[in-house]
Formats: sequence, structure tokens, C-alpha cells
Amino acid sequence: MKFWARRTSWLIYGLLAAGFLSPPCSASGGGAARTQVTDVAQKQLLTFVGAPLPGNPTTPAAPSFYGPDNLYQYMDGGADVFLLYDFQVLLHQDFKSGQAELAVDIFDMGNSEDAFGMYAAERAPVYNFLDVGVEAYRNEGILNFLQDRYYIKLAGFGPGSDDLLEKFARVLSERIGGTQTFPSLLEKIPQEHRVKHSEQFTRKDPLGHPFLSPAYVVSYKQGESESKLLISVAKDAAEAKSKLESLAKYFRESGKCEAAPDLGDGAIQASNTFEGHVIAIAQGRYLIVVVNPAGDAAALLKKTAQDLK
Amino acid sequence: MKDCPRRTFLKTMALGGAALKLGPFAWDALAAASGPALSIAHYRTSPKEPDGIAEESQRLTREAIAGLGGMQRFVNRGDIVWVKPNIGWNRKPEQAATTNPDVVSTIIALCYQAGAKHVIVSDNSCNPAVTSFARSGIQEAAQKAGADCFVMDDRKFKSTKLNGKVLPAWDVYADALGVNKFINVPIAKHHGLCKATLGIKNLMGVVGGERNRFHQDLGNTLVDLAAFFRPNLVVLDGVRVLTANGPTGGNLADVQRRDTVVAGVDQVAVDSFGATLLGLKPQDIGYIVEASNRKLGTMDFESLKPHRAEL
Repeated sequence: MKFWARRTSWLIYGLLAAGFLSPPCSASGGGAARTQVTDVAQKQLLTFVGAPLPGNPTTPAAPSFYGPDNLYQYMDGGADVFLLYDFQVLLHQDFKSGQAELAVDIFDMGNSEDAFGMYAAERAPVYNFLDVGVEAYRNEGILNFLQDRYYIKLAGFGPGSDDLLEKFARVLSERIGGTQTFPSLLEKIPQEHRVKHSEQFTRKDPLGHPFLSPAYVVSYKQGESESKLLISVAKDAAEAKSKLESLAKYFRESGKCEAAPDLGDGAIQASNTFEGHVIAIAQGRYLIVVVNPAGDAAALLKKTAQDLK
Repeated sequence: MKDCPRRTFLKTMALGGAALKLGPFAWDALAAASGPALSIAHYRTSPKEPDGIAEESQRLTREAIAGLGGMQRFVNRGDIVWVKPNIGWNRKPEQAATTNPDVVSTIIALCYQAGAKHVIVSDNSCNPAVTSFARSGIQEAAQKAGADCFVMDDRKFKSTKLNGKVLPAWDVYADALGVNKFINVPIAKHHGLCKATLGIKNLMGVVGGERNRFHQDLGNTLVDLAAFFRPNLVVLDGVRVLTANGPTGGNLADVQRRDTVVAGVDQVAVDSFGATLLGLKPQDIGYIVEASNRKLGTMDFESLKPHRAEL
């Protein structure tokens, strides 16, 4: 658990550093090219929420748009994580149908990988999932789903809103089209013992280490023991090996690290008081790390390396 | 015994001198500091029905404030009181992103019972304000209790000298400075960046301008606000607690019952206890540590020997 608490701290430091470097408002950033891109994105978003829609709703106010420079105005500190995933544009539109009121937020995250990352950052394995878009979950008064480069969050209030939420989601999903699958890497790695809906994609500083960016993280559970499988994506095999060397160096300096030839060519096992134990190997353009190796973690590492060949 | 009047006189002079150097509500805050500093009220059961939760919230609020000596310790006849809940989000009370309206309405009623002339309730919402005020249930509850509850007018934010460590001046809602009592009424909830939104963070709702800039040095900016405002009283709503995906929330699966209301005059102590409602230590939260370092209060809330009530 310490590992993840530390990761959160690093994430916050990273965010603060990014905040110092970023312009405070739209007036000081942007430029013509950026404005053009934003205009196109806004027009695209508007096509998703045009009439006709389920329940023939009215719109109490015009849609509003937010970009990276003013997302804070809409969601205060909630904006930080969205910015971490290179959020592009948000369309917010309220609807009213009878006594039901709906708030629709469509976040254009720029690409499907970042959209997945943002969606997954707010998701928990215990939620009530349903089949809309790539994946959706709902609870009383909310329905959130992922599709293509969009993260869509619907909130419903008043009698009849819960019925309307799913109808709205299905219409929006149909209009959005595009990619309706998880990132392909997640399909390749082992399914056995995987904790369903635990997959994450971390854009910046996974586990607090910039050299591990970006990375997928998935939980695996055997009995009561849970391990985290981290797959850091490199440009090529040389960079993946360099990431492994950086990881080994970090553990040598903060704890201990030794070769683990029985896990594969170049594999290591390491530990320190912060992260606990890890085993790792470079495979092609991937660095594969198992954090808190429990159960048959060695088999998980080897199988993942095999699957990613 | 002879020393007592002299000691009292010296204490008063010291408090007065300190108050002159401090924020707009500092004199009253210091004067009110002669009694229990922290009071924690907890409900043994967790009612599920709306009426039961409303009754629980009202009783917890009354009991927490009674534990400090009652509202008359903070509000005098003729006072104009600003009550500052979290109305930042287009969320229902059950979603625990905004302060429980029954906590707010109980505070308003207690203010009037103590002799307040006028109670004002407002916040600078993040989500569209008109919707958030209605959805949170706070506007209706506040108005029923006799308070003036309005959406902030952008023209009323005035550049104000804060003399802070990182905020020399900032746009503050002028009406909030025109009152003579200020009661901060946050909800305890998760926050993606600073881990928890509690009382000190809730003060962002009385300032305007480009609030995103606060997030570049959140700890210091929040503590600059806390040092400036120094609320007369903080009442923390911990009845329902948003434990993940804050501050926006929305998913009831992220909401847990803590059935607690905390009242205090030490805003650092209130937030420190509030952190524990989220499974955190005060030391985990940067702005609490910074506020403690600046001697705005204590993280060691147990040292205040809090009054505790189990209902």
C-alpha cells in the first residue's frame, strides 16, 4: 500500500510542477492553430447532442465549452487529473424532459488511450458495469462511459431521469461511433487471475518514476494476495532496456537489486522499504514489472513477456 | 487571586494586539476562544430514510455546537452572519459533494436564536451556480430557515489585501467582508489533488479571480486564505463522506456514512479531525501541515480535549 501512497504523492508533485510551468489562462496561451483545433472539436461535440434525443428534451441554456485553460472554473481541483491526461475540450449541456433533468459532460481527451486512462482513473472494480460504448458503469443518478477518444459523464436528477440516462447514453454512443475496444495491449496480457475492471493507464510518472511513463497497470489476485502488473511502454527495445536499468539503479540506491536469471534474460528482483518487492524484465519495447509479487508472480511475469513478444 | 484581573487585562490587551494584526473576523475569533475549542458529535446508528437522516443531521449539528457552549458564544444580538457551506457542485445531498442542507439550516436557526439580525448563505460555485444552489438543496433549506441565499454577483469581487505568504492580494467577495460573523460549513470529502476538501479548502468559495492559479501552490494559497479569514466557527459536515473521485463525485458507490458533525474554533484542529473521517492523518494533507506550521491551530486535535457526544 505504501507504494501506491507514494505514487500519489509523486503524482501531486508532478501536477504542481506542471502547474508552475503552464500559462494561467487562455489569453496567454493557445494561438490560431490551437483555436482552429478547438473549433473543430467543439463542432464535433455539438453533433453528438443535437435533436432528436430520447424524451425530446429542452435545453435550459446554451451549451458551454471548457478547455485546458479554464477547466478549473468548471470543476476546481477535479480538473487536475483530466489535464494529466492531456484533456482537450469539454462540452457541458443541460437537458430537461418532463420532471427529469440531465447534465451531459463529454470530454474530448484527444485520443482513445488518454480517454481510457481518464475513464479508468475514476472507475473502481466494484461499480455496476453495463454494456455501452467500450465500457460503462452506472449508479443512481449517474452513468459514465468510454468510447473512442471521449469520456462521457451523464448525471440525472428527478423522476424518470434514471431511465433516460441509459437511453441517452445509447444514442450518444451510436452517434460517437469510432473505437469501441480497450487499448490493444490490454487484450494481449494474461487474463487468468486478472481483477476485472482494474486496468489503468498512467500517462505521467507511474509509481512516482518519470522513466516509467507511460504505463498500463493491472491488478492480479490469487487468494487474498494481490499483485500489480505494470507495463511501461517504450519507443523501442533499447529504451525498454534503459528503463529497466533505471529501475535497477533506483533500487540499488534505495534498497537492493539483483539479477534473476530464472525469470528470463536480463530480469531483476529488487526491494526497498517504500515499494516493497518487485520483479522486472524488458521484453521488446516493454518493461514489465510485477509489484508485490504474490502467488505465482514469476509465471505472470513470464507469461506477460511471452504474450507481448 | 489578586493577579486575576491583571492577568485578564494583559490577556485582553495581547488578544487585542494580535487581532489588530489579523484578518477581518479575528477579534471575535480570539474573543470566542475562551471555551472548548473542539466538539465532535457522532450518531450511533445510520438512518437510511431521508427523514431519519435529516433528523440525524440536525441533532448532530445542534449537539456539536452545544458542546462548544452554544451558538450564543459566537453570535450576538444584531450580528450579521455569513454562513459558508460548499455549494460548488450540481449534486444532490446524497452524493456528498456539497454540504448537507440540514446542517446548514440548523446553523441558521441557531444563529437567529442567538439573536442574529441577518444570516447570509452563499458560495462561489464551480458548476453552474443557479443549478448547484437548487440541486444541493441548500438554497431551499436556507431560505426556509430565514436566511438570504443568493448566487454571487461577479461584480462584487474586490481586490483585497491578504498580506499572505504567496497571495499579497486577491479578489474577495465584498459582501463576505461586510458581515461581522463568519461561519465556515464545509463537507469532508476526497480531493484528487490535495487528498481532502475540508474547512480551509472551503474558503476558496469566497474568492474569485483565476482560482486555477491556487493549484500551483495549493498549500500556501489556502493557508493564506485561512490566515486572512479566521472564521469565528467551523462546522464540518461528516454525515455522508465522499471517499473517492472528489471533489466532483457523483457516484453513490463512493459515498460512505460517517454520521459525524464536528464544530470548532480551531480550524486546523477541525480539519485534522476531518482528515481521519477519510482514513487520512493530518500530516498527509499539505495545507493542514502548512497551517499548523504557521501556528493557525493544532494538528494534535486530541490535545484540545474535544467534547464528544454519542447520540
